Amino acid sequence: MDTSTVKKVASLARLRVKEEEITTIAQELQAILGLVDQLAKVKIDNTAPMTTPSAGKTPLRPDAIEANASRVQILENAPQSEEGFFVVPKVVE
Amino acid sequence: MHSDLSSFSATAGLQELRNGSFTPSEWLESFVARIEACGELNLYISDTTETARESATQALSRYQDKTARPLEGLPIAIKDIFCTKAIRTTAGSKFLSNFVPPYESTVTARLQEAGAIVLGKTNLDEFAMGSSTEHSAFGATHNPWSHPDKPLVPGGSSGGSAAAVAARAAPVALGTDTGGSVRQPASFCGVMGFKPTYGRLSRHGVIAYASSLDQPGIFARSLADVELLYRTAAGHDPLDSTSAVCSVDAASSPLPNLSGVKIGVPREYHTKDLDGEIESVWQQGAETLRQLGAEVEEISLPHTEAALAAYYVIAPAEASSNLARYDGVRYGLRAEGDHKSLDAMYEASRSLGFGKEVQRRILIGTYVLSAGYYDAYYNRARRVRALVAQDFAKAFERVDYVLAPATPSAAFPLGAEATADPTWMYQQDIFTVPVSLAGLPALSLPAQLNKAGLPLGLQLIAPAFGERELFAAAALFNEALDFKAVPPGLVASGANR
Repeated sequence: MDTSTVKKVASLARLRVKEEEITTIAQELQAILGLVDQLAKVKIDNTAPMTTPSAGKTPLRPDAIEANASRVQILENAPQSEEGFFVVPKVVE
Repeated sequence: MHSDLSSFSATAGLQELRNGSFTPSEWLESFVARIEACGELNLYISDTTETARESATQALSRYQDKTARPLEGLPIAIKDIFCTKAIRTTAGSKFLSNFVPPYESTVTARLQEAGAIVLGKTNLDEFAMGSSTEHSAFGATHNPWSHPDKPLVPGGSSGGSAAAVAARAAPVALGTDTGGSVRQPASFCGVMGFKPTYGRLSRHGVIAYASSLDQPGIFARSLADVELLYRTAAGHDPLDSTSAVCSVDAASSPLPNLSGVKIGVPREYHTKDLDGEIESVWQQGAETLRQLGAEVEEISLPHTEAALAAYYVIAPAEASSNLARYDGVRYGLRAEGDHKSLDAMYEASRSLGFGKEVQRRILIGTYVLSAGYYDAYYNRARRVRALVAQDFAKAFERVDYVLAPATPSAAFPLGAEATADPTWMYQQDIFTVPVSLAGLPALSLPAQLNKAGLPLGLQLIAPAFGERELFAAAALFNEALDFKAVPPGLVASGANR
């Protein structure tokens, strides 16, 4: 895990890493990958991947309209809103 | 008027409410007083005393007009990761420090519909990522078993809930367990911690960490309390697509002894890091089960070490995906300033709002899911997960339950982790993570105190959906373990009072 990989991964994750912390972060992530590298030693043959412990199909519920939180309630948690909309920074390319 | 109502278990206290020995308000005030007395432990992020007092008054009227519900007037503590309508829910994160959910989680809704009263929202590692409750934007929680000059961690991530139940600052509490976040703090705090089968308790309204592993769990000081809360909260929920479609178990029926019951002791759990005192408590636990009539035999769970590696790929991968929603647009924190682009605003807000451990796990998760690494890490981890589940399935062809330590050590000092390699804390999860990957139910029971006077716990692990039988067997085991110790400064009054 080199510093350029850390920068690339951070950008994919929309995280900003400080220049002076990159080396430390790279070392920490490398230590975690060291633990995780045991995976390579496991004989997996044709074992199918397991994504969830849930067995069988997940049931569907009727596609019915139900009362939910109101727009007003939902916008109360928004950092910035105006006239019933979420406000984001102006983007001009 | 009793002097120490805070030491009543949920079941015993509810019986006294029905008998009219004391009122819901009197019971509630005993916990309000304990929460205040335990202020330095930093158990709760938010308390809800005012609304709890109103609810307690209403509960009394229900007892008087004979319309009391099964949990009427029972105070409960809730890990601050369950969304509670109109009550701030932070997940221990600066990002959500002002978030007030417009809806209620299914589990907390069901308990309150049965009459439970919310005491407050307990502290946790940010977004449930951690094993010490030090990774909280609201400060660390201290273990009630520590001496004031040498604070210990309560475990994590549900450390506030575990410590609150141990300190009599709540009779029972809700937590969540992704890789051991209920069982490990229960063990560190000398209380019971139960993680049901994946799918038993709804995840609706539980702030997501790793969705294929997250499962609500219960802390209590009596097994009857664990079962009471579990049975009240369980049952299919159409709002959680992974909620199991099956009816709630009938109450467990007492067993005369454990004759005919087979217990497996996994060979691979004798790890090099296992503390000698825990090894001996484990052996004594096996002997206790033998004396109760069970047959104890060695079993093999060959993918135990690999399970830890698989967990630390799968959990961060799911976390990186789940936590992508925190963008500073719809709720939560937005960094101040003149952002040049939407991406710049996302980056600034996420870097400001997330703590170090959360950012570390998002980075690892993003890395293992990124092009070129997906097969070597994420896909391989999912295959190893299948092997871990197969290990248990094979074991359960031979035995009914697995007996294991809950943790490789007793509670560690506050700050110990900061000086260690980040993987040191991950290694603490070796006995809890395999169960989570396989989605099995497991109960951590306090077993003994070590020489330093700290509690040590043992886990009974059952096959999927085997809760009812597990409770019956655990009742006998728990009675034989006879753990009655209480944290320093509290007066022992019998575990099942």
